[in-house]
Amino acid sequence: MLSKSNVKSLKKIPTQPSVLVVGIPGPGLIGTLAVSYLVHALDMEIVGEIENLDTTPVVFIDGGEIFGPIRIYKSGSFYAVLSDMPIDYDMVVSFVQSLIEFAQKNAIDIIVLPNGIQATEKDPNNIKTFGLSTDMRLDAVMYENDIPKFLTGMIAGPDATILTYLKNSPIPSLVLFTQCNFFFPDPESAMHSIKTISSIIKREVDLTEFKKQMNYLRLQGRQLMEDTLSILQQEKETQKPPQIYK
Amino acid sequence: MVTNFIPSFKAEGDSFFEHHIKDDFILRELVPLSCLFEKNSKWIIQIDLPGVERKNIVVNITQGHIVVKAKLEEAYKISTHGRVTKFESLKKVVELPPHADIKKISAKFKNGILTITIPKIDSGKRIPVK
Repeated sequence: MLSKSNVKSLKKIPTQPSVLVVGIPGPGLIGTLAVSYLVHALDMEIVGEIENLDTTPVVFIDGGEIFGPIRIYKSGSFYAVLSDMPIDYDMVVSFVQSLIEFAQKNAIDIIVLPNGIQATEKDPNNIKTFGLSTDMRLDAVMYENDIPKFLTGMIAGPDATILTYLKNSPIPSLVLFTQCNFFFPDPESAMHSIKTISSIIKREVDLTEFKKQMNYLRLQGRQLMEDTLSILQQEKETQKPPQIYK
Repeated sequence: MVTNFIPSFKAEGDSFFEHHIKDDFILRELVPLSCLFEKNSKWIIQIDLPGVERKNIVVNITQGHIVVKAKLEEAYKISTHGRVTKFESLKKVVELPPHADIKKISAKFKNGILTITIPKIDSGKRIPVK
């Protein structure tokens, strides 16, 4: 059977790129906390949702309208996808395919995924965000925004599937790994991630309200963090080497 | 995203933790997130206690359990179907892990996270290799 070929674009990334930022629950809930605040602070308008008829376990009702847990927002040339539930193995492929399809239809230049990475001893005054790109053209974006490269590590589970699809898509993608507490919602680190995104999209984001709500966000995010950890724990179990190599 | 920096952990849902987040309304107290690590000859329990001051945390050991209770500086409100429920404290009950040396348990509170260190009773014996 002939394998499918991928088209790689060599088009220059514009100085004011059209950006799609994707916030899904992960370590420290960095993606969800960062993107939900961006949606609020930039007064983004809901323009759609990513729906999977077979795997949607919850819907939200607002003003008599039904919304799914994965919604799409827009403000100018800045788009955001925000998920209120962790993306598990059952839905990851359809999720990332829909994401790429949406990005292509809307002429997105860069897809940005804010995420967290375990920091054993996090220094609150020196939180770092590392970047992992699927395209060398994003090196300049990382350099301009003081984002050091994520050089070594391993990514497993549904996130690995997302990265593989993005790597094979024609749209350059950048994953931002911010040092965080892996097990608890970490708004302090999410704030650092918001600053990095704000610098990439060249839009000022007022963080006053976010700072005031940090304790509330940690309490509010408990259930989502617990659900996310149960998926991450499955990932960890699948990473175990076979018995013979132990 | 998962990297190989992740330590082994036990999260909510494991048998060590007796109260779960879904129990908030039954217990009338918020159940904080927590995790348990095994590090060399110690067990380490971390409990997330946002909005709490050190002086308002009480840690007790009773009948094979560690009980942590903390008063919130500001009440946390949950609104469901037009009814507001106010929570003023957090409480967590954790079963003591095996071989815990309860005389040497220590606790510290930093950045809203309570870390309880439980040394294991040293009952090992060195076996000479011939």
